Formats: sequence, C-alpha cells, structure tokens
Amino acid sequence: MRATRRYWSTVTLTGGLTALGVAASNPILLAGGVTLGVWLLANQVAFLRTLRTLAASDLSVGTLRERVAVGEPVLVRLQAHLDEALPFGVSVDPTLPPSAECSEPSPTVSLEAGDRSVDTTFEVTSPLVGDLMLGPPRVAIRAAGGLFDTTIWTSTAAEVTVRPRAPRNLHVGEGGSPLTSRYGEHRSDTTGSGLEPYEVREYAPGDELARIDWKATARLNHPHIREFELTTTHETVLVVDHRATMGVGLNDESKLDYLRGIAHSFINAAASFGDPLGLYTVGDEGTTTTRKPTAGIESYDPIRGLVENIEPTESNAERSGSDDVSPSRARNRASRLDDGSALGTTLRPYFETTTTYVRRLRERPLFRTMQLAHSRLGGGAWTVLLTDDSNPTEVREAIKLARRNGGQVLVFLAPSVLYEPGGLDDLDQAYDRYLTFEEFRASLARMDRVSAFEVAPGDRLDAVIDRHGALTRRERSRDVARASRRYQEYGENPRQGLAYGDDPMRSNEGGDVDE
Amino acid sequence: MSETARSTDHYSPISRLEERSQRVPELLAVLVALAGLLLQGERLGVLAGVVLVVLWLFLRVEFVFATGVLAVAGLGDPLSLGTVLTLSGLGGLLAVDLARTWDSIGAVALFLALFVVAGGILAATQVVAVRGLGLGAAALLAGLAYALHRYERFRFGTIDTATAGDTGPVGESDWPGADRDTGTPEDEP
Repeated sequence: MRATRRYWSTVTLTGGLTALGVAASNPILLAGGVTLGVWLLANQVAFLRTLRTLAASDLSVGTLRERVAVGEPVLVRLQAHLDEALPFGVSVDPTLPPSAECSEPSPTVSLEAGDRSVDTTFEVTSPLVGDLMLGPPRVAIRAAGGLFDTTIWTSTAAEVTVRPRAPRNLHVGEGGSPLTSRYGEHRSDTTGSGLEPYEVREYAPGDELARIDWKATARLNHPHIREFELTTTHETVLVVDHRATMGVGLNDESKLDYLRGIAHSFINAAASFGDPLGLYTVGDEGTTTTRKPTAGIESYDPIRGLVENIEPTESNAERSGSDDVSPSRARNRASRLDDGSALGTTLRPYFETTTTYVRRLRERPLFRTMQLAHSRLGGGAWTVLLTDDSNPTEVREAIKLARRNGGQVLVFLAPSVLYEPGGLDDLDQAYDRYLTFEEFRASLARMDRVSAFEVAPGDRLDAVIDRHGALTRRERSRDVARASRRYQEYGENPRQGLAYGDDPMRSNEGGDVDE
Repeated sequence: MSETARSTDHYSPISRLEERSQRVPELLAVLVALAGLLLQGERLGVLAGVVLVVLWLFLRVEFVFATGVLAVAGLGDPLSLGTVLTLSGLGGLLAVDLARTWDSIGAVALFLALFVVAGGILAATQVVAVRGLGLGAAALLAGLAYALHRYERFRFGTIDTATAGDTGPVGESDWPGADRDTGTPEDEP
C-alpha cells in the first residue's frame, strides 16, 4: 500500500487540527483532528476489504497450447472475473517475460468501476527456445479512493514450452524410403567386467579366479564364469554446415532448418545417454564454432542454443567456386589424353600431380573444419555430418578424413533439387537430379563405417518419386546405373555442372588426402 | 466517482464533480453544518456558512471539513446545539464521501462509530486534559494505520507500484517521492 499525496495532505490536516487543539486547549479542534484521522482509518479498512475481494477473484492468464515452435504465435487469454464489482478501476497486466513479443502494444486490460468481468486475447511469440512463463497477472490499483496505490500478484500462471522450429514434413531415409531403424542404443557387444549380465560360460584356462560365479559353478558342477556386458559411451561430434547454400529453401524452411532438427535429435540422444558431445560449425569463411566433446548439462544446453541460433552465412564469391576434381578422377580423364598428341603431352603432368588438389582442398571450410575436429577426437568416435550436396568432392574427402582411426560417420545430406524454388518445375529433370544425388549418397554409404541419409521435405520427395512411380524396380535400377555412368563419363551434374566425385567402387584409391 | 478518477492525475485539492445529482446527500450534510453555524454566530455564522458552501463546491471534503472545524472552534461554545449540528454536518459530509467512494456500508458504520468516540472526546475534555487526549488519540490513530498497513502487506503480499516497475506515464503518480530521483518512497501511511 502506497499513500497518495491526497492521503498525506489529509494526514497533515489531521495533525494540524490536533496540534492546534492541543496547543490552544480547544476540544473542538482536537475532536476535528481525531475525526479526520478516523475517516482516514475507515478509508484504509475499506481499501483492505476491496483487496480481499480482488484476492478472491478469478484473475488468470491461459493458453490453449502448451507447446509451440520458435516464432510461432500462441493465443493468450487474459481474463478477470470479480466476485463483486469494485468502486474503482483496476488494470490487469499479464506480466509477459521480456523476451516475448506481443501482438498488442499493451496487453493490459482495464476493469472499470462497477464492472465485474473483462477478458482479452492477444498473440505472443517467443524468439527463444525454452519455457515461456505467462503471468501471473499483476493487478495495479491506482489511487483507490484517491488515497492509496498498490499492486498485487495473483497465483495463476501459464507455461508454454517453446521448442525449436522444425519442418513439419521431414523425411530421413535412403533412396526415397524412410529410415525405420533406431539409433542410439549403445550396446557394445563386448563382454568384460561391466554391470549388465551377459552370459554364463565355462571357465577357461587364463580366466581370473575372482570372476568365477560360485553359484553357477555349484549348480552346473563345473567352474563357470559370469560375463558382464561392457557399457560404453559414444564420443560424438556434430559438424554442421551453414554455408550460404544451406539457406536455400521454400516457405522459410531451408536445408539448414531440416538439418537442424536432425542435430537436435542427436543432442537429445547424447543428453539422454550422457555421451560426450562436441560441435563444429562451418561457414563460408571457415570454422565458426568449435566445442570439444564433453558430457553434462553444461555442454548440451549451450550446444542446443548454438544449433538453434545458427544461420546461413553469406556466400563468399572468391572462395566458393566449383567443386574440385579429385586426383583419381583427374587420372581417369588423363587416360583419355594418351593419344600421343601435343595437347595430351602438355596437359598430362597437370592431371598427374595431386599437390594442387590437396592444397586447394585444405582451403575449403568443411574439410578444414573436419581436420580440426578429427585432430581432437579419440579413436572410434562418431562424427555426424550435416550438409548438402553442393560440394560433393569436399564432402567425400571430409568423410574419408573423419572415418580414420576407426571413426564412425553418419552423413545427413540435403538434396538441393528438393529445396530450390522452382526445382520441381520440370519433374523429369528433377528426377534426374535426384538420381544424381542418390548415386552420390549411395557412394558415400558404401564406404566402410559410413552411413549416409537423405534429409528432404517428404512431400517434394514424393512428388519426384511418384512421377516415376509407374516404373518397375528394374527400370529404376537401370535409371540409377545410367546416371552413375553419366557421372563417371562426364563428371557433371546435368543442371549445375557439379561433379559428384569418383567412381564409388574406387573411391579409396588415391583419393585420400595426405595429412 | 470523478474524484477517484481525477486523483490518478496530478494531485489537486480542487474537486469538481460533474454529476451534481451525486452531491445531494453531501448537500444535505452541508446544510446541516450551515444551520449549526447560523445558530452559533449570527452574521459571522452566516459568513462562515457561505464560505463553507463555496468551499464545498470546489474543494475536496477534507478541506471543507477542516475549514468547518476551524470556523466552529472560532465561533462558539463546544457543547452548544450549533456546535453539535455543525460537527454532525461536517461528519456527515465525510461519511457520505466514504460511502460514495467505497460503496461500503461497513466502512461508513465504522466511521460513524468512531465519530461517536470523537464526540466522546469533547465530553471527556471536562475531566481529562486536552493535551493528553490529543497525544493519545494521535498515537492510537497512527498505530492503527500502521497496523493495517502491515496487515495488508502480510495478507495480500502487495508490492509498491514503483518497485514493481509500474509502467504508468511519467508524472502520473501522485504520491510524494514519486518525482524524486533518490531516496525511499514514503509508503508508510
């Protein structure tokens, strides 16, 4: 309760009359002062009574939805219903967090004197991931009776969980078929002195005596050893490509938005298993984020925030050129120059050398980032690469690097044809480009310890595949083989002139980059 | 209710009521006080009564009351009929304002009960010194006001509008200290 100026002026009058009455020994002045004081006291009591009415009233803020995406508006209803009408007006503020953006400049509602209920609806959006606390409503009472100000809080609040924006029609799979297997079950299939019972086997010479299971030995009449399954953690590193090409997309759903959802899945999986998780992000200028794999909530939450706020960088025209041709492809082309001509003799040394190729590749952001990440990883680590098919040779070489030292690699590729505006205008051409992508993905998936998946808008992928849905399986296989031959022969994307790399069956021959 | 609404603006002792019909009960109370003044001192009483009515038309009731009390004290005998009538009229003025502001019979009843106590003070001055009565009454009123304030804080968990980051326009608040840059606002009634 805060006294207003009117209150204090009345107190002054009260004091003045009382003091005057005492000074002049005048009982009338004294009685007047006391009466005025009593009047103030009665006002105060009446004010408390109205506060009691307010406290017992229904003042609430609520929403129909408990989960929304970042930037997605949620309808909020602020309502006030009083058991009794008040003799003065109050304003009810929903108390929104500072980060929330409201559709109304001021969502406060005013309850005029004599009114018993009022409600309003407005939209709130949050640019941040997390829990959005709406309320509790704050009731401001200004100059009640002209004498008091105060503000009270109610106890009802609404909580909305703001989740990362994720595409609604996410497809993850291989060759147009959705992925059905589950990842993240960390069974090592290795026995030892773990915690989970695995099997009971007969004692063999060399086994430690301490590992004999005496109960099983007594039951089976032979020395037996109880084996336990070793449990392990997966050291995982996310490599997220956010170069300019990752910003391509329709309806505000870019390649990066789709791959962001995948990244969040891995972060959640790592958090649930307590796996060490690292993050490296790749922009057009090079590595933009480096976080070595660590476990714990202090690691997952920052990574989650980084992934959520990552945006495509601006294209660097000087650095982003056409994809490099690998040494093995160069040698294939050089073989065609063995015709004894002067041109062939002159050009052949340029195709033989790999030094330029290696140097140029080391300047590419993704490869450079993979080198950095790999240098900090232990053996057998998992690398999750999230990128697109714009730089296939660079992607391929980066993967080769990541799978060294027994590393496992998961690659999630966004096929450009399914994201580009106008990419499906000519479905035949789109289908050809998708086959090209599919061949590239399959070639990656054929590498040891590498799994490659496509990440695409499901409806657009269906549109491309259904266009040729009438084709028999044999015809589709023939299409893939034809596309594969075309890349081997010409090394060109039919539309963009992108080279999709080496012959997949010979991808390990001479293509690796010496560190 | 314009008085309440107006008090959210800059504070002013001047009060202009648009709806005259709401002032009929107050007018009756003022007429009673006027009659008392007339009984107390003829020409001076008439003059004081007229001044009282004029003040009532333009000022808030507490100023009208204070002026009326000063007039009564200057004019007459504490236990005369005129004094009783004038003080009753002035007390009625405050009671009507209380009833109109809070729309609460309970508050008016409380006020009237305590008003009778104040009347008892007049009578008590015959046996007790005015000084002792004055100090005792002032201490009692201040203590009760503070107790109510603490009760409100404890029971309703209220906060000061300034510390709650009130978003009202600058200069809208009319409590002292709101326009000061530093210092603790005066929130203890």
